[in-house]
Amino acid sequence: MEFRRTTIQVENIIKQYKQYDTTVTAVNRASFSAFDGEFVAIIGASGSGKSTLLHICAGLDRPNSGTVRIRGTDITSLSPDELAEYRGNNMGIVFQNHNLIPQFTALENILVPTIMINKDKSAYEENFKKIVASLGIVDRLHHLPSELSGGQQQRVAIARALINMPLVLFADEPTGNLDKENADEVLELLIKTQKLLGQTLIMVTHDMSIAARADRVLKMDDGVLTAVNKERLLKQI
Amino acid sequence: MEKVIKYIFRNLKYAGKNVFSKLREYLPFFVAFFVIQSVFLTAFVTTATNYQHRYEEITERYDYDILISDLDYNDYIVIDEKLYIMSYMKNRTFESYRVSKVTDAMGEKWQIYVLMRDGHTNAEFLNYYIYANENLYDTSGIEISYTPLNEYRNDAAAHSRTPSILLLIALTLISALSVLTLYNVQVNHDRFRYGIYMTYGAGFKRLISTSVFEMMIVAVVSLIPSGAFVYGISRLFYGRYGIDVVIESSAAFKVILASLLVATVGVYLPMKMLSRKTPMSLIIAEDNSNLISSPRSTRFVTGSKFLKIYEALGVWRFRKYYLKLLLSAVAFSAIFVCGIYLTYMNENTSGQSIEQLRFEAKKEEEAIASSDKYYESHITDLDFFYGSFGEMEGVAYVDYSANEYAAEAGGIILLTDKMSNRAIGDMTSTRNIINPYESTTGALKKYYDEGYSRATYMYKYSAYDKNMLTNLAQNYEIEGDVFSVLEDSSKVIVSESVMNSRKYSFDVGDKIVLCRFREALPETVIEIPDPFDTVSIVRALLENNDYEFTEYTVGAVIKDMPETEGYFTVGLSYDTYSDVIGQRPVPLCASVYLEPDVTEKEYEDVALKAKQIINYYGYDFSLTDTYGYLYRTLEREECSFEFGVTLSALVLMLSPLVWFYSQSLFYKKRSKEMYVLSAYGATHKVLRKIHMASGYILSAIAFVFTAILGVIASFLVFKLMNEWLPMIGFGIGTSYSFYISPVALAVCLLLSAFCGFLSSYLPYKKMMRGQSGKSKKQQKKEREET
Ligand SMILES: Nc1ncnc2c1ncn2[C@@H]1O[C@H](COP(=O)(O)OP(=O)(O)OP(=O)(O)O)[C@@H](O)[C@H]1O
Ligand SMILES: [Mg+2]
Repeated sequence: MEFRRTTIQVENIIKQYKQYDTTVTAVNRASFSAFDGEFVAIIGASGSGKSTLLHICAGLDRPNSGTVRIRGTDITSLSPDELAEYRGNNMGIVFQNHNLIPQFTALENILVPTIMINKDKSAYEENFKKIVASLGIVDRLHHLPSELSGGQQQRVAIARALINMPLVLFADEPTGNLDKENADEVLELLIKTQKLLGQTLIMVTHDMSIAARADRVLKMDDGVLTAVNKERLLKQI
Repeated sequence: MEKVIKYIFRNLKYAGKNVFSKLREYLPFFVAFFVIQSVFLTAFVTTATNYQHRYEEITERYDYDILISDLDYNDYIVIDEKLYIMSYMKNRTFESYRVSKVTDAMGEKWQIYVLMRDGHTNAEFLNYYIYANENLYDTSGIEISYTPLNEYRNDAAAHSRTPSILLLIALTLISALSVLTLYNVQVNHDRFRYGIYMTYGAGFKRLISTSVFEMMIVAVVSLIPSGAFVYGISRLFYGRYGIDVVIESSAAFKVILASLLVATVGVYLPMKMLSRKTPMSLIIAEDNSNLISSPRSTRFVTGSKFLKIYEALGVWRFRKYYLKLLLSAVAFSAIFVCGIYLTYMNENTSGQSIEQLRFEAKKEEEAIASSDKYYESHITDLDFFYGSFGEMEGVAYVDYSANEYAAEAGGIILLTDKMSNRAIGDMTSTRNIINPYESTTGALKKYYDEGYSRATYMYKYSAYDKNMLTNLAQNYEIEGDVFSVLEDSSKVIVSESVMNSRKYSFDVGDKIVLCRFREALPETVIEIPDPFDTVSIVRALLENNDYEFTEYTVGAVIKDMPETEGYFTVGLSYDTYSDVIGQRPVPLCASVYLEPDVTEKEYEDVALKAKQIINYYGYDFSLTDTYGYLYRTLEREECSFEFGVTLSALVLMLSPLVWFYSQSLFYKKRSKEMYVLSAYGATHKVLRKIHMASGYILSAIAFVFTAILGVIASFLVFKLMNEWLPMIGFGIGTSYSFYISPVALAVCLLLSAFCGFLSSYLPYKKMMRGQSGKSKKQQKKEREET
């Protein structure tokens, strides 16, 4: 077996939401790791804590305890500024509900990450053209998010996540709003980019056929993360 | 270096694009910076203009710094109209001098007018002068006086070209507060966007640099209208006196610098707080949910009261937001009230007739002999002095009352609580006085039991004759009859002001007790704990000395006697004065007070007359021009009152700005709630009622808030001006009374109530327009067509 570097290593993540007298444990002692160029799918019932875990891995939220290491850097111990810079340079995020900035056009939304890390136009132009073309949103670039369909919005969100060619891509149901045909196309793009860049792809999905294409599948059950035997999963389908 | 310029240029371009493409969103900041810069520019322009105006006026009247007069031949300082010292002085401290000879009844006298050279002190000149003229070691026979030109030259702080540092700090704080408030509103509104920025790598530096550059663009653009505005009002105010407005070229630069500072401070805090949050917590706050305060309980309301309770519940749930809004919007109202208060403070001290143009005809110290006879002859002189001026145009009155400080005469006054309830300090309760000596305790105790629980020596005795009493009656606001002191030796006149503000409250018929020092009690050593602790001093004096107590009745109260020192006046007839002090009154000087509207011609006539009289009497009098006419004119022409009111009004404008800006963004996010309500059947009428309800609630709360904050802020300013600033050495010597302009407060109350309601109600109007997608006019047109 060839030697592979660990990209992300998650240990004992706990995330609780306290409200008055009730405490919701969204993530309960989750641990996993992923290697360079690996595609890991996370499945699980609605409300089981998948999004929460993903946000913590991407450094968008702080866990109550546990560590997230990316290429050996413990991102939970970084200062907010260092963390932001780290995210900008190394990570791409596709949110479950897109989170496009409503007052910006699709193009501006896609370019936000380049502005945030002061990337020159020459550095992203080629990549931009490729992504936009393969996502089929070339003729929608000057529309506001509110003027786009749910699927189009989702594709803009994916373009935004890929524009800086990140080391790790976190995607929360990136094909949730798409029909089968489009979903397949987007998935192909994601996997192609992933292979091309040697990227690590962590994807939350409800779609078993997508999960089946992953290198590894993890299952979230009421905050508890477990590994799933892919062979058995394939048989289930 | 090149990199830095490139960075700045790129950011400016980016920020400029951002600002100009969304002008409406940045409008509140334009207005805020317009106000801020107008305030700063006014400070710079008025100080420069006042400086220039003062300089011109003073140099027009005076071309010398020092006047050495009453030199006689024996002083040997002038030979052939040349200064004797000339030959001794290698490096001259003066620019030029002029010698003039005055001939009067007493013989020949010389006067020397000296113009100082820049950078040299008066002391330098005088030391040299006196050193070089051995005969002048005894300077008692000569009079040295300094002109306003000299004062102007030496008092850099008072006549500075730049505004006082204290003022600039205050303005910076207010400005930073306004930018901070508005920026906080904006940042709260745009949390989601910042959350996305942070997701994709924006740290604090990135966030703040973008904002600061944006604010810079806003500041530079708004400098044009604010410059025009300030130039306009300055022309308007100064124009009435024909004064040219001075705008120093550096002012714009300084204002930009101040704007940059203000923008950085105002943007720094909200951004710093924002960057501490996790991106997720910002992203989920796309609606108003981040403004909801916990704990929240779920209530079901139905029935006719539903709407009101629905909205009241809403206001309660958003209480954090509303509290912030109220505090920040009302803060500017409070600053306005304070601004008006400060304006009046300045008006009071400069406008009152404390420093009326005044000639003091001083008797030389040695000429005053204690023998009654000698003294009597001089009183006649004063009578003559009085008679010479009495009928002149422009003269209000002549004052030659004899004064004696109670402390020097060994006097203490006992008052009741009622009389001293305005007093701050300098008073003591006799309640705690324990005296080992029966006799004193007995007398003191008796008066204490009768209600005289206060004692002070911070007053002075004044002796008044008939002429002087007529003056009082004609020139002051008097309660009672001042002439009663002539008829009844148990009557006195009292004044209520101390340090230029009313601190005592007397009524005609009140009784007071004057304590007259008899002798120190045997075997006692007076230990005064702290020389500045007047309370303990009074107590120590009363404990350790033997006093004679005499009760007097207040015959008249002077309500508005100007008094720059910490002493109020107890006025007595000549006979009573002699009785209390143990000595006949000795007037040391006479002052000629002029009418407030005296013309320059009248002023000069009076001055000439005074000089003639002085020359006639020769030795006994000298003349001091307090330059009151000049100063009063200059002060009036500084238009500080007009500028004070204008600037305060400008700051008040920030209050509605915060109201409407904050509320419009708040309701933008609440519009979803309204649409959902209407989707489930709420009619326009219902939605309107909801908005109205919150308008009423807010309006009422704002009213109360404004009243409370206005009073608190004014009180803080009062404390600051009266106590805290003097403690660190600013503005000592004037004391102010607490005051709130009822008009200013009423304006604020109305404005708050008005803004509270409208800022809640207008979003409804806007929503209706948005919903139909057509303006009212269009709707009307369509209705007419069908
Ligand atoms: N900000 C929050 N405050 C309180 N509770 C929260 C918050 N965010 C999530 N939760 C709770 O945490 C749990 C996990 O939520 P999460 O969004 O991670 O689920 P999910 O697995 O992504 O579900 P879905 O498949 O529906 O997207 C849920 O029970 C949710 O109610
Ligand atoms: Mg989810």
